[in-house]
Amino acid sequence: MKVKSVPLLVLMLIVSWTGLTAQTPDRAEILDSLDRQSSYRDTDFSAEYTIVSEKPGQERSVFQVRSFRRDSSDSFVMVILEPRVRRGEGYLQLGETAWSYDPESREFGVFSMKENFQDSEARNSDFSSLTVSESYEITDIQQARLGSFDVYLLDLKALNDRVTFPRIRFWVRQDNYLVLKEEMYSLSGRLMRTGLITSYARVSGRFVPTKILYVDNLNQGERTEITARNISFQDIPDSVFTRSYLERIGR
Amino acid sequence: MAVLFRIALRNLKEHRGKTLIVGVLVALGVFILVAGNSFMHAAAEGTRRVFIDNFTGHVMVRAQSDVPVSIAGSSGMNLDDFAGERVPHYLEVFEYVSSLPEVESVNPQIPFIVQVDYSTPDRNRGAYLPLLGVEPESYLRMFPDSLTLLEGRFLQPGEQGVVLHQELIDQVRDELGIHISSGDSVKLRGITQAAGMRIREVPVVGIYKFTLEAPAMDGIGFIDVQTIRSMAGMVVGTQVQVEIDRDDTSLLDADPADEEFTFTFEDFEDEPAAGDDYFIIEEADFDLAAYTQPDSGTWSYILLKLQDERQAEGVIDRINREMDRRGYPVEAVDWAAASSGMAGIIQAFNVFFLVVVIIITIVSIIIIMNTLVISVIERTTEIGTMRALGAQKRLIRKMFVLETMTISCFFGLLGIMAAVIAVGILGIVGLPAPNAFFELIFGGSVLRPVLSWGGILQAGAMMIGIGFFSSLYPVAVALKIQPVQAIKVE
Repeated sequence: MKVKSVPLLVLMLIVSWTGLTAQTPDRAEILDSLDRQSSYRDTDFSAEYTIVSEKPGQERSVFQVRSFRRDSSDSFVMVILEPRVRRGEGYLQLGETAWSYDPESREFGVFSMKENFQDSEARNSDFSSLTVSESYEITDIQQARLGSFDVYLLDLKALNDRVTFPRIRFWVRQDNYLVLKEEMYSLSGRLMRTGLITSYARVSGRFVPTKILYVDNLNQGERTEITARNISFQDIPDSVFTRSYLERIGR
Repeated sequence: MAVLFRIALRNLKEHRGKTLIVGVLVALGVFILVAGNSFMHAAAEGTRRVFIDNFTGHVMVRAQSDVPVSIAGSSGMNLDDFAGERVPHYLEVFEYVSSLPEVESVNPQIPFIVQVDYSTPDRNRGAYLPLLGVEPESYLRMFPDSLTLLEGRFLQPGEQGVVLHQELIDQVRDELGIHISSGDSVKLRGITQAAGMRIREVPVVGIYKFTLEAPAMDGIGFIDVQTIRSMAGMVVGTQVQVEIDRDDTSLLDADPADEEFTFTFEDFEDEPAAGDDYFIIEEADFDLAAYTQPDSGTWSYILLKLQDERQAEGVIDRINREMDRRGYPVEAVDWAAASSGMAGIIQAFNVFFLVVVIIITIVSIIIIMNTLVISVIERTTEIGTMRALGAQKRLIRKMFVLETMTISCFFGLLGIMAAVIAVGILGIVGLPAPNAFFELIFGGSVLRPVLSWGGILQAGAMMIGIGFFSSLYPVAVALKIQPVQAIKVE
């Protein structure tokens, strides 16, 4: 009995080890995939977003914005389209510097990408690019399920203080590494916000999230839904990524 | 009893010096208690009157929040959200509170803070200006006599403009050498998280001062609500104003949970190359009025003035129960909460004052106790002889209690008389506030204290308390003296 059981044990160990190695995802590959999802370094990108926010006891607020990105130079422009009374208000980021623009007074103000967009649960940085591998490291990977999907649950820790959230958890699909859910934490480990990405589009071979629900975990009942449309990877004129562009369209 | 009283007086006379020291301390404590109470009462009443009549009304209705809003803005540390949380279900709340029979007038407001901007490209110059966004009609209905216009006039319904306090005019003239008159325009610069930096140039419609002096609120300006909403980022689109697809709210409507997580995926062709017109955006529509109707829900709070201020507690309770019943995160609070801690400052002074009185009381008790213990030791023979002659312990106890009571009541009454005279004189003459801080505490530039009967009652309690407690230990010492000790001590 003993003689037989030793090879069986070894066999079981071998099988389970090979099983483990087959299931252990490649961290670099996942980070690379996350980068490709959140940053388009080799092309311009534009889209229109509808942002609907709700707070308890208040009417839902609605904004429509047009966003232009040139991730290769960390350039970002966003202009409010609706409501009409706010049309032409804009945001411009060039590298580390960011401005907001008020067309009524025709003045630029200092602006932070970490702030919430128009008191919604979306942060301004949600509309710009993020190179995950440069800003975060994966500290833990586990297998999990989200709804009917097999996912990897990733714990990420920020490598610098320029990012909006110091800790993030991602639920990514095991088959294509698309992010389905994210939880954002403060430095003290407090859950700040949860994001559910329920829809993606593949445009020109690239994945773009088209439907996101952000839930504020600090203020109960405050949520924001973002819908992306008119997604394009066509070239954008250089003149768009300038302060004078915001001044020009605001007139 | 008469004999005991005579013995007590004889002993007090024998120790004249000690009696005087203790007595002066008691008189001082009682004087501070009575006069202080009269001062605090007058200051609190003055502040309450000024705030209710000019700024807060009797009741404020606001959103429930960890950082609740008051007439001085949100109590949070973040200046970005000075206007605080908006009143949820504004229209329904407004209709309900307006319908209450006790409510005489209703006025919604938005507090905000801006800088009157005179910056040059190389220098940041300006003066901070706290603002209240108001509906002119309902504001003047609620506070008809609160303002005295020095120049120009108050805002008119639908008019864009600002009414500035004389103090701000003086400050800008003194610090920047710029004279602002009604009819001029001022550039206001405000910053919020929601809207970023906003600059608006608005006409100065009038310049005013408060009819009743209110140092805490001096410098505040009144502005039309459209401008303040625009600056505070409170102008947002709603589903009525912005056409959206049903699909744009599918997640908000469905409230997906983890276990029901659904996922869609679509392959799209790239959008066609954007034409030049894609980068041009139509001119903005600055018809703010269309987005800022009174029922638009963007108000920070609603003030209520009641027919009779004694109804305030009942009205607050009624509103809170109704809001609870409806499930609205809305609360009604009294003028003190609405005044942004002004009542708290007065309360803090009351606590401070109480601590001083307690310390004086304890010190008095200890000193009297100590004096009496010495007296007991000095009178060992006498007490021993009394005991030997058949005096009961009860008699000895009474003797000492009478002594302490005599000191505290006699000198306490002197203290009360001195306080009554001082309060009476200051009530006629008035006590001028030495600086702005005391103006804030006094609720005006001169304080006229009125005698507080509550203070006199407290002083009475203090006198009896000192008399009783300070006798406890000496009595215990005296009662230990045995008759035999009368012959032991020389």
